[in-house]
Amino acid sequence: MKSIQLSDVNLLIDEIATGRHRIIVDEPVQNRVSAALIGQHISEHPYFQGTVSATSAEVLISKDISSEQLYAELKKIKFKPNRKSKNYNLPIYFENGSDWHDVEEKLGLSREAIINKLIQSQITVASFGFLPGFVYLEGLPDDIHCKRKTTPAKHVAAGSFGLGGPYAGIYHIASPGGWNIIGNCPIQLFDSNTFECPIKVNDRFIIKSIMAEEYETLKARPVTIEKYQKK
Amino acid sequence: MSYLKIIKKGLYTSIQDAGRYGHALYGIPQSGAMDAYSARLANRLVKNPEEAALIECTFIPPTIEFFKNYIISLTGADMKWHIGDFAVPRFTSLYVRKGSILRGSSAASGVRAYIAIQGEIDVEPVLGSKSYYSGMAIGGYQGRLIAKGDQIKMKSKRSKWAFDYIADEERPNLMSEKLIPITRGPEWHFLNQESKTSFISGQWTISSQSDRMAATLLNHKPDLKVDLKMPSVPVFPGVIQTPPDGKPIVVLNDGQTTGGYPRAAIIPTNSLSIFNQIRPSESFRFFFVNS
Repeated sequence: MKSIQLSDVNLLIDEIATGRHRIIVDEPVQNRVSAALIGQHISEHPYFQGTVSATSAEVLISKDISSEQLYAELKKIKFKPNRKSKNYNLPIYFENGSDWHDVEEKLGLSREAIINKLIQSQITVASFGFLPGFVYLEGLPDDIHCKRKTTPAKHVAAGSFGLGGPYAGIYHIASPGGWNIIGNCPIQLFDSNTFECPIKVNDRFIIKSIMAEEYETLKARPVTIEKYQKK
Repeated sequence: MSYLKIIKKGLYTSIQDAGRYGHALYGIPQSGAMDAYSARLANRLVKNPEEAALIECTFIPPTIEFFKNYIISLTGADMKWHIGDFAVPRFTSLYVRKGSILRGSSAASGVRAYIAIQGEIDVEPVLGSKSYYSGMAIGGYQGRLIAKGDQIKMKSKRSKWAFDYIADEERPNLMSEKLIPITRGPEWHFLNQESKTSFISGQWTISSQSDRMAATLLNHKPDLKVDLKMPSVPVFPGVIQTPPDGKPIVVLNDGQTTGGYPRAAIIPTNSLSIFNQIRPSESFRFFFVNS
Protein backbone atom coordinates (compact mmCIF):
# COMPACT_ATOMS: atom_id res chain seq x y z
CA MET A 1 0.00 0.00 0.00
CA LYS A 2 1.36 3.40 -1.01
CA SER A 3 0.60 6.77 0.45
CA ILE A 4 -0.21 10.08 -1.26
CA GLN A 5 -0.69 13.52 0.28
CA LEU A 6 -3.43 15.65 -1.28
CA SER A 7 -4.13 19.07 0.17
CA ASP A 8 -4.23 18.15 3.87
CA VAL A 9 -5.60 14.65 3.31
CA ASN A 10 -3.40 11.59 3.33
CA LEU A 11 -4.58 8.77 1.08
CA LEU A 12 -3.42 5.16 1.08
CA ILE A 13 -3.72 3.42 -2.26
CA ASP A 14 -3.35 -0.16 -3.44
CA GLU A 15 -4.39 -2.13 -6.50
CA ILE A 16 -6.51 -5.01 -5.17
CA ALA A 17 -7.16 -6.53 -8.61
CA THR A 18 -6.11 -5.61 -12.13
CA GLY A 19 -7.46 -2.13 -12.80
CA ARG A 20 -9.14 -1.92 -9.37
CA HIS A 21 -7.51 0.62 -7.09
CA ARG A 22 -8.78 1.13 -3.58
CA ILE A 23 -8.17 4.31 -1.63
CA ILE A 24 -8.34 4.63 2.14
CA VAL A 25 -8.28 7.97 3.91
CA ASP A 26 -5.51 7.85 6.49
CA GLU A 27 -6.79 10.53 8.82
CA PRO A 28 -7.57 10.85 12.53
CA VAL A 29 -11.28 10.09 13.11
CA GLN A 30 -11.96 13.56 14.55
CA ASN A 31 -11.15 15.18 11.21
CA ARG A 32 -14.14 13.38 9.68
CA VAL A 33 -12.96 13.36 6.09
CA SER A 34 -14.86 10.36 4.78
CA ALA A 35 -13.75 8.31 1.82
CA ALA A 36 -17.21 8.84 0.28
CA LEU A 37 -16.61 12.59 0.20
CA ILE A 38 -13.18 12.07 -1.36
CA GLY A 39 -14.82 9.68 -3.82
CA GLN A 40 -17.46 12.25 -4.76
CA HIS A 41 -14.73 14.83 -5.45
CA ILE A 42 -12.75 12.36 -7.55
CA SER A 43 -15.84 11.29 -9.53
CA GLU A 44 -16.51 14.92 -10.51
CA HIS A 45 -13.07 15.15 -12.13
CA PRO A 46 -13.52 14.41 -15.89
CA TYR A 47 -10.62 11.94 -16.01
CA PHE A 48 -12.27 9.78 -13.33
CA GLN A 49 -15.89 10.20 -14.41
CA GLY A 50 -17.75 6.90 -14.16
CA THR A 51 -14.83 5.05 -12.58
CA VAL A 52 -15.56 5.70 -8.91
CA SER A 53 -17.56 3.88 -6.27
CA ALA A 54 -17.22 4.73 -2.60
CA THR A 55 -18.36 4.08 0.94
CA SER A 56 -17.48 5.98 4.11
CA ALA A 57 -14.48 3.74 4.51
CA GLU A 58 -13.10 3.29 1.02
CA VAL A 59 -12.99 4.60 -2.53
CA LEU A 60 -12.65 2.24 -5.46
CA ILE A 61 -11.32 3.47 -8.80
CA SER A 62 -12.03 0.99 -11.61
CA LYS A 63 -9.72 2.06 -14.40
CA ASP A 64 -7.06 0.21 -16.30
CA ILE A 65 -4.17 2.44 -15.31
CA SER A 66 -0.99 1.91 -13.36
CA SER A 67 -0.65 3.09 -9.76
CA GLU A 68 1.82 5.72 -11.01
CA GLN A 69 -0.69 7.10 -13.50
CA LEU A 70 -3.33 7.11 -10.78
CA TYR A 71 -1.11 9.18 -8.45
CA ALA A 72 -0.29 11.63 -11.22
CA GLU A 73 -3.98 12.20 -12.02
CA LEU A 74 -5.09 12.36 -8.38
CA LYS A 75 -2.49 15.05 -7.72
CA LYS A 76 -4.24 17.33 -10.18
CA ILE A 77 -7.45 17.32 -8.13
CA LYS A 78 -8.14 20.15 -5.71
CA PHE A 79 -9.94 18.72 -2.70
CA LYS A 80 -12.52 20.86 -0.98
CA PRO A 81 -13.56 18.77 2.00
CA ASN A 82 -15.81 21.53 3.40
CA ARG A 83 -18.46 21.52 0.69
CA LYS A 84 -21.68 23.23 1.77
CA SER A 85 -24.26 20.67 2.82
CA LYS A 86 -28.03 20.94 2.45
CA ASN A 87 -30.75 20.06 4.97
CA TYR A 88 -33.69 17.82 4.12
CA ASN A 89 -36.70 16.41 5.94
CA LEU A 90 -36.95 12.65 5.46
CA PRO A 91 -40.39 11.08 5.99
CA ILE A 92 -40.37 7.54 7.40
CA TYR A 93 -43.39 5.36 8.16
CA PHE A 94 -42.38 3.13 11.05
CA GLU A 95 -45.50 0.93 11.30
CA ASN A 96 -44.65 -1.62 8.61
CA GLY A 97 -41.07 -2.55 9.54
CA SER A 98 -40.80 -6.32 9.27
CA ASP A 99 -37.87 -6.66 11.67
CA TRP A 100 -39.02 -4.59 14.66
CA HIS A 101 -39.19 -7.63 16.90
CA ASP A 102 -35.56 -8.64 16.18
CA VAL A 103 -34.34 -5.05 16.44
CA GLU A 104 -35.97 -4.48 19.84
CA GLU A 105 -34.43 -7.73 21.03
CA LYS A 106 -30.95 -7.02 19.58
CA LEU A 107 -30.83 -3.48 20.99
CA GLY A 108 -32.72 -4.12 24.23
CA LEU A 109 -34.80 -1.01 23.54
CA SER A 110 -38.47 -0.47 22.82
CA ARG A 111 -39.71 0.55 19.40
CA GLU A 112 -40.75 3.97 20.75
CA ALA A 113 -37.31 4.56 22.26
CA ILE A 114 -35.57 3.63 19.00
CA ILE A 115 -37.82 5.91 16.91
CA ASN A 116 -37.24 8.76 19.37
CA LYS A 117 -33.50 8.35 19.10
CA LEU A 118 -33.74 8.37 15.30
CA ILE A 119 -35.82 11.53 15.06
CA GLN A 120 -33.55 13.33 17.49
CA SER A 121 -30.37 12.37 15.64
CA GLN A 122 -28.43 14.54 13.24
CA ILE A 123 -28.44 12.12 10.29
CA THR A 124 -26.04 12.76 7.40
CA VAL A 125 -25.63 11.14 4.00
CA ALA A 126 -22.62 8.87 4.35
CA SER A 127 -22.46 7.37 0.87
CA PHE A 128 -24.38 5.65 -1.91
CA GLY A 129 -24.19 2.35 -3.66
CA PHE A 130 -24.70 -1.30 -2.70
CA LEU A 131 -27.79 -1.29 -4.92
CA PRO A 132 -29.21 1.29 -7.34
CA GLY A 133 -30.29 4.31 -5.33
CA PHE A 134 -29.31 2.85 -1.97
CA VAL A 135 -28.35 5.57 0.52
CA TYR A 136 -26.21 5.02 3.61
CA LEU A 137 -27.02 7.38 6.49
CA GLU A 138 -24.79 7.96 9.49
CA GLY A 139 -25.00 9.82 12.77
CA LEU A 140 -26.97 7.22 14.74
CA PRO A 141 -26.25 7.10 18.47
CA ASP A 142 -24.16 4.05 19.46
CA ASP A 143 -27.00 2.32 21.31
CA ILE A 144 -29.05 1.88 18.14
CA HIS A 145 -26.23 0.42 16.05
CA CYS A 146 -27.80 -2.87 15.03
CA LYS A 147 -25.87 -5.83 13.61
CA ARG A 148 -26.83 -6.90 10.11
CA LYS A 149 -28.60 -10.23 9.68
CA THR A 150 -26.31 -13.22 9.49
CA THR A 151 -28.24 -14.50 6.44
CA PRO A 152 -29.70 -11.81 4.17
CA ALA A 153 -33.49 -11.77 3.68
CA LYS A 154 -34.61 -12.94 0.22
CA HIS A 155 -36.89 -9.95 -0.32
CA VAL A 156 -36.75 -6.39 0.96
CA ALA A 157 -39.42 -4.03 -0.41
CA ALA A 158 -38.61 -0.81 -2.29
CA GLY A 159 -38.40 2.17 0.06
CA SER A 160 -37.47 0.02 3.06
CA PHE A 161 -35.68 1.88 5.84
CA GLY A 162 -33.30 -0.31 7.79
CA LEU A 163 -30.50 -0.43 10.32
CA GLY A 164 -27.16 -2.04 9.45
CA GLY A 165 -24.22 -1.64 11.84
CA PRO A 166 -23.51 2.05 12.42
CA TYR A 167 -25.76 3.05 9.49
CA ALA A 168 -29.36 3.50 8.58
CA GLY A 169 -30.15 2.89 4.93
CA ILE A 170 -32.88 3.22 2.35
CA TYR A 171 -33.54 0.63 -0.35
CA HIS A 172 -34.59 2.42 -3.56
CA ILE A 173 -35.51 -0.86 -5.27
CA ALA A 174 -36.80 -4.20 -4.01
CA SER A 175 -33.97 -6.70 -3.53
CA PRO A 176 -32.50 -9.26 -1.18
CA GLY A 177 -30.86 -7.57 1.80
CA GLY A 178 -29.21 -8.05 5.16
CA TRP A 179 -30.39 -4.92 6.98
CA ASN A 180 -32.96 -4.86 9.78
CA ILE A 181 -36.07 -3.24 8.28
CA ILE A 182 -37.97 -0.92 10.64
CA GLY A 183 -39.90 1.33 8.27
CA ASN A 184 -40.45 2.70 4.80
CA CYS A 185 -39.52 5.94 3.08
CA PRO A 186 -42.24 6.79 0.53
CA ILE A 187 -40.45 9.56 -1.40
CA GLN A 188 -37.95 9.37 -4.28
CA LEU A 189 -34.33 10.14 -3.42
CA PHE A 190 -33.13 8.94 -6.77
CA ASP A 191 -34.71 9.63 -10.15
CA SER A 192 -35.77 6.35 -11.74
CA ASN A 193 -35.60 7.79 -15.26
CA THR A 194 -32.44 9.89 -15.28
CA PHE A 195 -30.76 8.03 -12.38
CA GLU A 196 -29.64 11.37 -11.02
CA CYS A 197 -29.50 12.05 -7.34
CA PRO A 198 -29.99 15.56 -5.90
CA ILE A 199 -28.54 14.64 -2.52
CA LYS A 200 -24.81 14.62 -1.88
CA VAL A 201 -22.47 13.15 0.68
CA ASN A 202 -22.67 15.10 3.98
CA ASP A 203 -26.15 16.53 3.31
CA ARG A 204 -28.24 16.44 6.50
CA PHE A 205 -31.53 14.65 7.14
CA ILE A 206 -34.12 15.19 9.87
CA ILE A 207 -36.26 12.06 10.13
CA LYS A 208 -40.01 12.72 10.34
CA SER A 209 -42.15 9.89 11.68
CA ILE A 210 -45.25 9.99 9.45
CA MET A 211 -48.74 8.56 9.96
CA ALA A 212 -50.48 5.95 7.82
CA GLU A 213 -52.51 8.52 5.91
CA GLU A 214 -49.51 10.56 4.72
CA TYR A 215 -47.62 7.37 3.96
CA GLU A 216 -50.41 5.96 1.77
CA THR A 217 -50.73 9.29 -0.06
CA LEU A 218 -47.01 9.53 -0.76
CA LYS A 219 -46.73 5.86 -1.67
CA ALA A 220 -49.55 6.26 -4.21
CA ARG A 221 -47.95 9.37 -5.74
CA PRO A 222 -44.27 9.50 -4.81
CA VAL A 223 -42.63 12.93 -4.92
CA THR A 224 -38.96 13.79 -5.17
CA ILE A 225 -37.13 14.76 -2.00
CA GLU A 226 -36.85 18.34 -3.29
CA LYS A 227 -40.62 18.61 -3.86
CA TYR A 228 -41.30 17.11 -0.43
CA GLN A 229 -39.35 19.92 1.26
CA LYS A 230 -41.70 22.53 -0.22
CA LYS A 231 -44.75 20.91 1.36
CA MET B 1 -39.33 -6.29 -41.53
CA SER B 2 -36.34 -8.04 -40.04
CA TYR B 3 -36.99 -9.87 -36.84
CA LEU B 4 -36.88 -13.11 -34.89
CA LYS B 5 -39.80 -14.48 -32.94
CA ILE B 6 -39.63 -16.27 -29.62
CA ILE B 7 -41.60 -19.54 -29.77
CA LYS B 8 -40.47 -20.74 -26.32
CA LYS B 9 -38.78 -18.46 -23.82
CA GLY B 10 -36.38 -20.89 -22.16
CA LEU B 11 -35.46 -20.55 -18.48
CA TYR B 12 -33.86 -17.11 -18.06
CA THR B 13 -33.25 -15.72 -21.51
CA SER B 14 -32.14 -12.10 -21.80
CA ILE B 15 -30.41 -9.61 -24.04
CA GLN B 16 -26.93 -8.76 -22.78
CA ASP B 17 -23.98 -6.82 -24.13
CA ALA B 18 -20.53 -6.09 -22.68
CA GLY B 19 -22.09 -4.24 -19.74
CA ARG B 20 -23.29 -0.97 -18.28
CA TYR B 21 -20.26 0.82 -16.92
CA GLY B 22 -19.80 4.09 -15.11
CA HIS B 23 -22.68 4.10 -12.63
CA ALA B 24 -21.32 2.13 -9.70
CA LEU B 25 -21.20 5.25 -7.52
CA TYR B 26 -25.02 5.18 -7.36
CA GLY B 27 -25.11 1.43 -7.06
CA ILE B 28 -25.93 0.45 -10.63
CA PRO B 29 -24.22 -2.85 -11.44
CA GLN B 30 -22.32 -3.49 -14.65
CA SER B 31 -24.56 -6.38 -15.84
CA GLY B 32 -23.56 -7.77 -19.26
CA ALA B 33 -22.87 -11.30 -20.48
CA MET B 34 -21.92 -13.62 -17.60
CA ASP B 35 -19.52 -15.54 -19.83
CA ALA B 36 -18.00 -12.51 -21.52
CA TYR B 37 -15.44 -14.66 -23.32
CA SER B 38 -18.05 -16.81 -25.08
CA ALA B 39 -20.09 -13.69 -25.87
CA ARG B 40 -17.07 -12.09 -27.58
CA LEU B 41 -16.44 -15.28 -29.59
CA ALA B 42 -20.10 -15.36 -30.68
CA ASN B 43 -19.95 -11.77 -31.89
CA ARG B 44 -16.64 -12.32 -33.62
CA LEU B 45 -18.14 -15.24 -35.60
CA VAL B 46 -20.92 -13.07 -37.05
CA LYS B 47 -18.63 -10.07 -37.65
CA ASN B 48 -20.35 -7.94 -35.02
CA PRO B 49 -18.39 -5.66 -32.69
CA GLU B 50 -17.20 -7.82 -29.76
CA GLU B 51 -19.25 -5.80 -27.27
CA ALA B 52 -22.52 -6.06 -29.28
CA ALA B 53 -25.77 -7.19 -27.67
CA LEU B 54 -26.72 -10.84 -28.06
CA ILE B 55 -29.01 -13.39 -26.44
CA GLU B 56 -27.93 -15.07 -23.21
CA CYS B 57 -29.60 -18.42 -22.43
CA THR B 58 -29.54 -20.10 -19.01
CA PHE B 59 -29.80 -23.93 -18.68
CA ILE B 60 -32.91 -24.23 -20.87
CA PRO B 61 -32.65 -22.49 -24.23
CA PRO B 62 -35.39 -20.61 -26.06
CA THR B 63 -36.90 -21.72 -29.37
CA ILE B 64 -36.53 -19.01 -32.00
CA GLU B 65 -38.05 -18.59 -35.45
CA PHE B 66 -36.16 -16.44 -37.95
CA PHE B 67 -38.18 -14.20 -40.26
CA LYS B 68 -35.34 -13.41 -42.61
CA ASN B 69 -32.08 -15.06 -43.65
CA TYR B 70 -29.55 -14.49 -40.90
CA ILE B 71 -25.98 -15.27 -40.04
CA ILE B 72 -25.86 -16.47 -36.45
CA SER B 73 -23.48 -18.20 -34.06
CA LEU B 74 -23.86 -20.30 -30.92
CA THR B 75 -21.25 -20.37 -28.14
CA GLY B 76 -21.00 -21.14 -24.42
CA ALA B 77 -22.92 -24.03 -22.86
CA ASP B 78 -23.75 -27.08 -24.99
CA MET B 79 -27.50 -26.81 -25.60
CA LYS B 80 -27.60 -29.54 -28.31
CA TRP B 81 -28.74 -26.96 -30.81
CA HIS B 82 -30.84 -27.86 -33.85
CA ILE B 83 -32.00 -25.82 -36.79
CA GLY B 84 -35.04 -27.60 -38.09
CA ASP B 85 -34.17 -31.30 -37.84
CA PHE B 86 -30.44 -30.81 -38.16
CA ALA B 87 -28.01 -30.72 -35.30
CA VAL B 88 -25.79 -27.64 -35.65
CA PRO B 89 -22.37 -27.08 -34.13
CA ARG B 90 -21.35 -24.39 -31.69
CA PHE B 91 -18.39 -22.08 -32.33
CA THR B 92 -18.96 -21.69 -36.05
CA SER B 93 -20.88 -19.16 -38.09
CA LEU B 94 -24.22 -20.51 -39.34
CA TYR B 95 -26.41 -19.38 -42.19
CA VAL B 96 -30.08 -19.69 -41.26
CA ARG B 97 -32.83 -19.31 -43.83
CA LYS B 98 -36.03 -17.38 -43.40
CA GLY B 99 -38.59 -19.58 -41.68
CA SER B 100 -35.96 -21.71 -39.89
CA ILE B 101 -36.47 -22.61 -36.25
CA LEU B 102 -33.59 -22.80 -33.77
CA ARG B 103 -34.14 -24.99 -30.73
CA GLY B 104 -32.08 -26.84 -28.22
CA SER B 105 -32.34 -28.88 -25.05
CA SER B 106 -31.19 -28.24 -21.50
CA ALA B 107 -27.45 -27.61 -21.19
CA ALA B 108 -25.38 -30.79 -21.45
CA SER B 109 -22.33 -28.91 -20.17
CA GLY B 110 -21.97 -25.41 -18.79
CA VAL B 111 -24.82 -23.12 -17.79
CA ARG B 112 -25.03 -20.18 -20.19
CA ALA B 113 -25.18 -20.19 -23.98
CA TYR B 114 -25.00 -17.25 -26.37
CA ILE B 115 -26.82 -16.63 -29.63
CA ALA B 116 -25.31 -13.86 -31.73
CA ILE B 117 -27.08 -12.59 -34.83
CA GLN B 118 -25.29 -10.54 -37.46
CA GLY B 119 -26.49 -6.94 -37.27
CA GLU B 120 -27.78 -5.00 -34.31
CA ILE B 121 -30.52 -6.04 -31.90
CA ASP B 122 -32.94 -3.11 -32.07
CA VAL B 123 -33.67 -2.36 -28.40
CA GLU B 124 -33.14 0.91 -26.52
CA PRO B 125 -29.89 1.18 -24.60
CA VAL B 126 -30.38 2.40 -21.02
CA LEU B 127 -27.42 4.27 -19.53
CA GLY B 128 -25.31 3.22 -22.46
CA SER B 129 -26.10 -0.49 -22.43
CA LYS B 130 -28.69 -2.90 -23.82
CA SER B 131 -28.04 -5.38 -21.01
CA TYR B 132 -31.13 -6.46 -19.12
CA TYR B 133 -30.90 -5.83 -15.39
CA SER B 134 -33.76 -7.27 -13.34
CA GLY B 135 -33.16 -5.08 -10.27
CA MET B 136 -34.35 -1.94 -12.02
CA ALA B 137 -36.22 -3.64 -14.87
CA ILE B 138 -34.04 -1.84 -17.42
CA GLY B 139 -32.34 -2.82 -20.66
CA GLY B 140 -33.01 -6.04 -22.53
CA TYR B 141 -36.32 -6.48 -24.32
CA GLN B 142 -38.60 -3.73 -22.93
CA GLY B 143 -36.91 -3.90 -19.53
CA ARG B 144 -37.63 -7.56 -19.00
CA LEU B 145 -36.60 -11.11 -19.83
CA ILE B 146 -37.40 -12.48 -23.25
CA ALA B 147 -40.87 -14.05 -23.33
CA LYS B 148 -42.95 -16.21 -25.65
CA GLY B 149 -44.25 -14.26 -28.64
CA ASP B 150 -41.63 -11.48 -28.45
CA GLN B 151 -40.53 -10.17 -31.82
CA ILE B 152 -36.91 -9.09 -31.58
CA LYS B 153 -36.20 -6.63 -34.36
CA MET B 154 -32.82 -6.50 -36.05
CA LYS B 155 -31.12 -3.56 -37.67
CA SER B 156 -29.02 -5.30 -40.26
CA LYS B 157 -27.10 -4.26 -43.28
CA ARG B 158 -26.82 -6.68 -46.17
CA SER B 159 -25.45 -9.85 -44.65
CA LYS B 160 -21.85 -10.70 -45.26
CA TRP B 161 -21.54 -14.45 -45.30
CA ALA B 162 -18.09 -15.80 -44.70
CA PHE B 163 -17.67 -19.08 -42.91
CA ASP B 164 -15.73 -18.71 -39.71
CA TYR B 165 -15.05 -20.95 -36.73
CA ILE B 166 -13.25 -20.86 -33.42
CA ALA B 167 -10.24 -23.16 -33.21
CA ASP B 168 -10.41 -25.92 -30.57
CA GLU B 169 -7.73 -24.39 -28.39
CA GLU B 170 -9.65 -21.10 -28.23
CA ARG B 171 -12.91 -22.70 -27.16
CA PRO B 172 -13.61 -22.72 -23.45
CA ASN B 173 -13.39 -26.24 -22.02
CA LEU B 174 -16.49 -26.68 -19.90
CA MET B 175 -15.92 -30.37 -19.12
CA SER B 176 -12.51 -30.39 -17.47
CA GLU B 177 -11.85 -30.32 -13.76
CA LYS B 178 -12.59 -26.85 -12.49
CA LEU B 179 -9.79 -24.86 -10.92
CA ILE B 180 -10.65 -21.25 -10.30
CA PRO B 181 -7.80 -18.76 -9.81
CA ILE B 182 -8.12 -16.24 -6.98
CA THR B 183 -6.03 -13.50 -5.48
CA ARG B 184 -6.01 -12.53 -1.81
CA GLY B 185 -8.71 -10.02 -0.98
CA PRO B 186 -8.10 -7.04 1.32
CA GLU B 187 -9.76 -8.90 4.24
CA TRP B 188 -8.24 -12.36 3.67
CA HIS B 189 -6.71 -12.09 7.15
CA PHE B 190 -10.25 -11.97 8.64
CA LEU B 191 -10.34 -15.75 8.18
CA ASN B 192 -8.79 -17.84 10.91
CA GLN B 193 -6.09 -20.37 9.94
CA GLU B 194 -8.49 -23.28 9.77
CA SER B 195 -10.85 -21.35 7.51
CA LYS B 196 -7.99 -20.24 5.24
CA THR B 197 -6.99 -23.87 4.82
CA SER B 198 -10.51 -25.03 4.13
CA PHE B 199 -10.98 -22.17 1.65
CA ILE B 200 -8.00 -23.30 -0.40
CA SER B 201 -7.99 -27.07 0.05
CA GLY B 202 -11.77 -27.52 0.06
CA GLN B 203 -14.01 -28.78 -2.73
CA TRP B 204 -16.62 -26.13 -3.38
CA THR B 205 -19.96 -26.21 -5.13
CA ILE B 206 -22.24 -23.39 -6.20
CA SER B 207 -25.66 -23.27 -4.51
CA SER B 208 -28.61 -23.74 -6.86
CA GLN B 209 -29.98 -20.49 -5.38
CA SER B 210 -27.28 -18.57 -7.26
CA ASP B 211 -28.20 -16.13 -10.00
CA ARG B 212 -26.80 -13.22 -12.04
CA MET B 213 -26.34 -11.17 -8.84
CA ALA B 214 -24.28 -13.59 -6.82
CA ALA B 215 -23.19 -17.19 -6.38
CA THR B 216 -23.30 -18.70 -2.91
CA LEU B 217 -20.54 -21.24 -2.31
CA LEU B 218 -20.95 -24.44 -0.34
CA ASN B 219 -18.23 -26.61 1.15
CA HIS B 220 -18.58 -30.04 2.74
CA LYS B 221 -16.20 -28.90 5.50
CA PRO B 222 -17.45 -26.91 8.51
CA ASP B 223 -18.37 -23.36 7.60
CA LEU B 224 -15.72 -20.64 7.52
CA LYS B 225 -15.12 -18.66 10.71
CA VAL B 226 -14.87 -14.95 10.07
CA ASP B 227 -14.53 -11.82 12.12
CA LEU B 228 -17.36 -9.58 10.97
CA LYS B 229 -16.59 -6.15 12.41
CA MET B 230 -15.98 -4.05 9.35
CA PRO B 231 -17.53 -1.09 7.55
CA SER B 232 -19.24 -1.29 4.15
CA VAL B 233 -16.67 -1.22 1.35
CA PRO B 234 -16.82 -1.21 -2.47
CA VAL B 235 -17.16 -4.58 -4.22
CA PHE B 236 -17.28 -5.65 -7.88
CA PRO B 237 -17.85 -8.82 -9.91
CA GLY B 238 -15.40 -11.46 -8.78
CA VAL B 239 -15.11 -10.34 -5.16
CA ILE B 240 -15.69 -13.25 -2.77
CA GLN B 241 -17.38 -12.00 0.40
CA THR B 242 -17.40 -14.10 3.54
CA PRO B 243 -20.50 -13.45 5.69
CA PRO B 244 -20.69 -14.85 9.23
CA ASP B 245 -22.88 -17.80 8.20
CA GLY B 246 -19.66 -19.21 6.70
CA LYS B 247 -20.99 -19.49 3.14
CA PRO B 248 -18.95 -17.29 0.80
CA ILE B 249 -20.79 -15.13 -1.73
CA VAL B 250 -19.21 -14.31 -5.09
CA VAL B 251 -20.41 -10.93 -6.39
CA LEU B 252 -21.43 -11.30 -10.04
CA ASN B 253 -22.50 -9.07 -12.95
CA ASP B 254 -25.85 -7.89 -11.55
CA GLY B 255 -24.45 -7.77 -8.02
CA GLN B 256 -24.20 -5.05 -5.46
CA THR B 257 -21.51 -2.37 -5.68
CA THR B 258 -20.75 -2.19 -1.94
CA GLY B 259 -20.93 -4.72 0.84
CA GLY B 260 -20.38 -5.12 4.54
CA TYR B 261 -18.75 -8.54 4.56
CA PRO B 262 -15.00 -9.25 4.44
CA ARG B 263 -13.61 -9.49 0.92
CA ALA B 264 -11.61 -12.64 1.52
CA ALA B 265 -10.57 -13.26 -2.07
CA ILE B 266 -11.06 -12.04 -5.64
CA ILE B 267 -11.61 -14.04 -8.84
CA PRO B 268 -9.81 -12.13 -11.64
CA THR B 269 -12.22 -10.63 -14.20
CA ASN B 270 -10.99 -12.81 -17.05
CA SER B 271 -11.63 -15.98 -15.02
CA LEU B 272 -15.27 -15.14 -14.29
CA SER B 273 -16.28 -16.56 -17.68
CA ILE B 274 -15.17 -20.06 -16.59
CA PHE B 275 -16.64 -19.60 -13.11
CA ASN B 276 -20.04 -18.55 -14.49
CA GLN B 277 -20.29 -21.80 -16.46
CA ILE B 278 -19.94 -24.04 -13.38
CA ARG B 279 -23.12 -26.01 -12.69
CA PRO B 280 -24.54 -26.45 -9.19
CA SER B 281 -23.77 -30.19 -9.34
CA GLU B 282 -20.08 -29.69 -10.20
CA SER B 283 -17.38 -29.17 -7.63
CA PHE B 284 -14.33 -26.98 -8.01
CA ARG B 285 -11.27 -25.77 -6.14
CA PHE B 286 -9.57 -22.43 -5.78
CA PHE B 287 -5.88 -21.76 -6.28
CA PHE B 288 -3.88 -18.60 -5.65
CA VAL B 289 -2.35 -16.59 -8.48
CA ASN B 290 -0.44 -13.35 -8.27
CA SER B 291 -2.52 -10.32 -9.12
